[in-house]
Amino acid sequence: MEMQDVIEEGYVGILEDLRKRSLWMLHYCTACGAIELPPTITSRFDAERFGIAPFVTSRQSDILLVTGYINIKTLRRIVTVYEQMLPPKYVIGFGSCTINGGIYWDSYAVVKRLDLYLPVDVYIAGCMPTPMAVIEGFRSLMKLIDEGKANGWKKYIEDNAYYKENQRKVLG
Amino acid sequence: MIDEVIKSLPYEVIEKRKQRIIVKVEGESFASALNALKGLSFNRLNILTAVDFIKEKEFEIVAILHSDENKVIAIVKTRIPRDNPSIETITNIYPNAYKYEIEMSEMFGIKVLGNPDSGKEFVLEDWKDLPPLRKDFDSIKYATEHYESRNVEVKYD
Repeated sequence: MEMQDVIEEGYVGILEDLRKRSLWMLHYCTACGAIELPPTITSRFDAERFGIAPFVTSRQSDILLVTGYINIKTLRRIVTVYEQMLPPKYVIGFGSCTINGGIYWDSYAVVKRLDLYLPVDVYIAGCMPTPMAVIEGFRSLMKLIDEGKANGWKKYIEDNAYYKENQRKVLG
Repeated sequence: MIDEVIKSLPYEVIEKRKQRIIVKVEGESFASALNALKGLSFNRLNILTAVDFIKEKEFEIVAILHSDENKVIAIVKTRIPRDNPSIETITNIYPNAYKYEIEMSEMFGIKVLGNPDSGKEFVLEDWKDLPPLRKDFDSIKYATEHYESRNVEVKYD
């Protein structure tokens, strides 16, 4: 049995190591933040050298990148997309709009905090964050995965009642 | 070309420039003014929207038309009273006004007679407050009541 444990532990360790080097990103571009992604993923900054590539479907993606402000209409879709994704899955909040509303703090339509509704692993601050900042955010997510701290998807299962209550409060 | 337009229009022209005229009409003759302008080669509706003049208790409906043939813009303005506002549809003249009318009825609460989707939900979902682009709607109050903010003290070195 001891041998089995050792093998399993090593297997999980290898899996985590591989996982952090191959992250597929679903970019949910709700707003102006999307304009920073083309330079990030194309040849100038080339996010693919870290194993991060954009992808089009929610089922095959690992990262949900929420760029820019979220309003009621998009929040409903973001929650659906996040629940469609298969674990392990990570959420990155991109730009100051996802942190505290940004310049839309007084808007009637903008939901100010993303982490009330979805478990956010990494926030990238800035308005707009530069491609360097985006890549730094990806690297810190990789570091968190390596240390086993990127457990947002586990938190979503454990504290599901908390997240669902917050979602119900704004979505009705 | 502009002089011809002004001559044949029975409405008040409040501004005239090289490539632009601004026409002011009464509320009832809004659709007929647009119809007349469409006959005068203004074939395109660029935008249909409203402006809230809360001190005068009026809404101003603005339609911007464009003539591809003569490269001239015509702005048609009309004022309607602010309580129980309603306006006739212009989709029979310019079909692309359909979505503008739905948006106007949602954002300002202006009823569009003859548009079947007027008053239905367009962008906002489950909206129970005043129409949000009216001037008496308090956006900051609504935002602080409905959406939680992050209470962080900002410290500058």
